[in-house]
Amino acid sequence: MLKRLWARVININVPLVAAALFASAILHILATLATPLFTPTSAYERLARALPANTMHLLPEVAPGAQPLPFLSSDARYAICHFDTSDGAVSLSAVLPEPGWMLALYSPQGEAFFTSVGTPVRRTEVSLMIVPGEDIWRMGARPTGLVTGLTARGTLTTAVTRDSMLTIPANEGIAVLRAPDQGEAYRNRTLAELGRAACRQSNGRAS
Amino acid sequence: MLRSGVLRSRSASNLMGFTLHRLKKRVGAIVAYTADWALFIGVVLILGLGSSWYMIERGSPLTTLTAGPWVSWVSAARVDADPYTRAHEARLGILPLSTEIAQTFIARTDSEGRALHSSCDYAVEGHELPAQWWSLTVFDSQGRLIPNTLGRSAYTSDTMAIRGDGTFIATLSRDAHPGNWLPIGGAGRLALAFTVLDHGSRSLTQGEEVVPFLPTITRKDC
Repeated sequence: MLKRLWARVININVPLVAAALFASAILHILATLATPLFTPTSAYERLARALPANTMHLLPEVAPGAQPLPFLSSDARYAICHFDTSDGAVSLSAVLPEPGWMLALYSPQGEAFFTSVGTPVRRTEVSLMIVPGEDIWRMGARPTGLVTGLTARGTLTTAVTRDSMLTIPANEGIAVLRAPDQGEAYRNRTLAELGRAACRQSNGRAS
Repeated sequence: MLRSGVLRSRSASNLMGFTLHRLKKRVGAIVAYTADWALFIGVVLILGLGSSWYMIERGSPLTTLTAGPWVSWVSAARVDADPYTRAHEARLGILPLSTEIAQTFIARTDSEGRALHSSCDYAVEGHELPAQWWSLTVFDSQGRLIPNTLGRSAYTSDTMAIRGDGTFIATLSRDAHPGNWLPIGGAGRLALAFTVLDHGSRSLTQGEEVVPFLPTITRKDC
């Protein structure tokens, strides 16, 4: 038996083995790249689909059975805005009063292209104007740094902060404001701070 | 007469043997050819899909940072994330914190490599991180919070009872325990998440800063 196996091994079809390895590598790459495309609903879709556009929405407390996403911890409260700049600019403002607070802007692909965190030394105030790329020059903004990029749809969307500007990879996305759980005593204060965050269309069509 | 009959029968039997031999050879060649292709397809499927699954599910030193039972995807939610990290996030359906500002470590085993299970009690011991906000959350293996009467699934650096020397112990158990108790009854396999959030210094970008402070997970009773 071993002799036959050995004979088979030494008579191995080298081109076929090389072809198998090559085909495996191709399949590996295709399977890896295709996985996000074959996911029935992404985390982004699950969050964005349920929310009206350009409104800051305070999510209910994350609890067993009421968890919007897997591995979303109950260690924080969340306010989320599904922003869409296809009808004009969107303004976004939030305060990050303490360490543990965080604001992140995610693209539909789940990339956090803008993040800001609370620091122990001061209250961080974040004020963003998210505008379609073609409008940015009309607004007269003079960015200190500019990263450009075209989306799959050929559109360009830009978020302007006080001192920086960055291009986002789509004309929609979600802004996630995260407030850490500091215990029962701080709950009302946390909710009040979250409630002050705003997300609205800034060209007179506020929602 | 008899001789010629014998000769005819012999030649017929030779012809049959020859035909059978040729048929056997041909069948053998077809079987070998089919076996080669079956082997080819099998190897391609197992190597191609298997290696892709492994890299997406478990990761590699290129995509993950591993310290004992804790695993963190080093470019989670980043714009420059690699395809394995993107596929991992898509497969789990998660929207993680960006590793530019946070590190999330997941443990599915205790510090000795045994799978975490709700039928056992565990002690999670650690040391508070200097000037960082952090949290410890227990999930079931699918990332769902575990229902319990207290509605408690996580402790943070603000809510964890920490000793005077800066250390803490959280107990994962079905039964109530004094101190930092995280109920796990009826969950089956468990996953523990340890998240550290940056204070703006961007010191977490490398991830290794957190590794010395990762808690140990010790199995107590089963």
